[in-house]
Amino acid sequence: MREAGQDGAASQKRKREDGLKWCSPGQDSLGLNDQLSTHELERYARHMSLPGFGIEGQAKLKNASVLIVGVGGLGSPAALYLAAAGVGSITLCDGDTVEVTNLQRQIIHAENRVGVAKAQSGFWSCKALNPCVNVKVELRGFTKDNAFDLLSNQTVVLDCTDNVPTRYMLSDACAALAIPLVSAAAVGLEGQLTVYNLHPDTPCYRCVWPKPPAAGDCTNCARGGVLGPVPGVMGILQALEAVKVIAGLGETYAGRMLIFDACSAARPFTVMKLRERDTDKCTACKPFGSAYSDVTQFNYEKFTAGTCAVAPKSKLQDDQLYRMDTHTFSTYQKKTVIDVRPRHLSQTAMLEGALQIPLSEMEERFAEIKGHTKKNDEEWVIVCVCSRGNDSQLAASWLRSKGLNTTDLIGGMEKWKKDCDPTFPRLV
Amino acid sequence: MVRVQVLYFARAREATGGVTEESFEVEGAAADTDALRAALVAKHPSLQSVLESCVLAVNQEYATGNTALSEGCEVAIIPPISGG
Repeated sequence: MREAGQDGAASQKRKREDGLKWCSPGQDSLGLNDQLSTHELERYARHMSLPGFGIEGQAKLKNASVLIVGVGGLGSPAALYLAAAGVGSITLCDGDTVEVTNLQRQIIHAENRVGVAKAQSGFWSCKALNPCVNVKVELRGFTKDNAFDLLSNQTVVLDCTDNVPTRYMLSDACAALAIPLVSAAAVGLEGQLTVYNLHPDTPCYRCVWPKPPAAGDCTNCARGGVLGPVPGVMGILQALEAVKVIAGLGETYAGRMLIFDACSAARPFTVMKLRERDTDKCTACKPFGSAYSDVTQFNYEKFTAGTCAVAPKSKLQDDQLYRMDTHTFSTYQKKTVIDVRPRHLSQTAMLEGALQIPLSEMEERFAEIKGHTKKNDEEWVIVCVCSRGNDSQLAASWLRSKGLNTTDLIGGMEKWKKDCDPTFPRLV
Repeated sequence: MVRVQVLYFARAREATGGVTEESFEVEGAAADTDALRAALVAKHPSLQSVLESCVLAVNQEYATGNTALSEGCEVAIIPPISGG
């Protein structure tokens, strides 16, 4: 029975007219928390007509939480497909920013997102694709400090990372908590995929690869190159495995590894049966005290020393991470716009509905600004705009320091004029 | 002596100079994966360090420890890849 939100109004109206209500027995029988709305029932209609998936499968997706670690070549298609498919909650975790060399394969990031945090860029793209999905971001990447917070209450985790130490750390933490880990990797023209930890006898990453690669024996995308569609194939397969695990559909790759060779037409896919969980030797799988302290105390950098040392990224200014491009600005609905230009400019021409708060007045009018935020909506954002995108960064930075979820428009009204509305007058 | 078909993936493929697959004769008293490893390194010296972290799959099944090989079996050399 639909009672919530916009659908509630429709069903109540229907009830008043003819005295009948409608219900969704497939959902009701599962006893899940979140029920699908009318719009969602329509949006996912092609899923629900699939034999073996149905309303039950879709309801399980809506009630699932997926953590995607790495929003790069693998994480891009994985996140987009899981968002489109209606996974209820997706957390995007990545500590890097978008670089121009990423764009050939990391299709969640558009050209104008260079310099923006990958997790933030992924957020905008997923929300644009499917606003029904709840998306969270973690801009610090996956670390010992946030590992167990990030993993709590996750149904499935996707390993879309690009380095060996993080792969071991993520796997160890998932093994400790018995969370299924859909793991893929891609480099050059090859890919690998499996599901770790799904069943009590399913191995973890460390069971399969007890010894990290020696110095120089690990090729990453930066060194060895990668053909864009190759991580695309693997990332989509990860999304598919995640859906299968959540909905209980078909056979998964738990206990098997899929190896993809993009150059071979005779045998593009090879499936290898993996070993069982190594409860004798694997330090992540044999019982050994508190999992929490083990993962937080293990020295992953030392363990993988000299192998695939990830080059430290040039740390862009923190303020760069959150910026918004004109396209996202024009399409993202959950925002309050503040025009921070001097009053004589905003008086002459400004975006309809924007708050007129010059940078110089920001501090004294803070209470007013705060009144425009939505307390219970993490996705609501304040967007500061100015002439060219300089003052807006100062304003956004200051508001963030006051605890408000704030971004700013890259390039300001000048860029807006160029990209979106040539009729906007050039005033400076 | 047994003849096996060896498949190389990822970094192992680089170490063989781009050879993706070749037939190998494993000689000696025991025809097993340890003997094959030695034969592989003798032919492709740069495989030595790669093999230390590789998975060997015999007839598409993960080989734990030293595993016996039989005539005509397939051995895949699978290094971990980490790109994402």
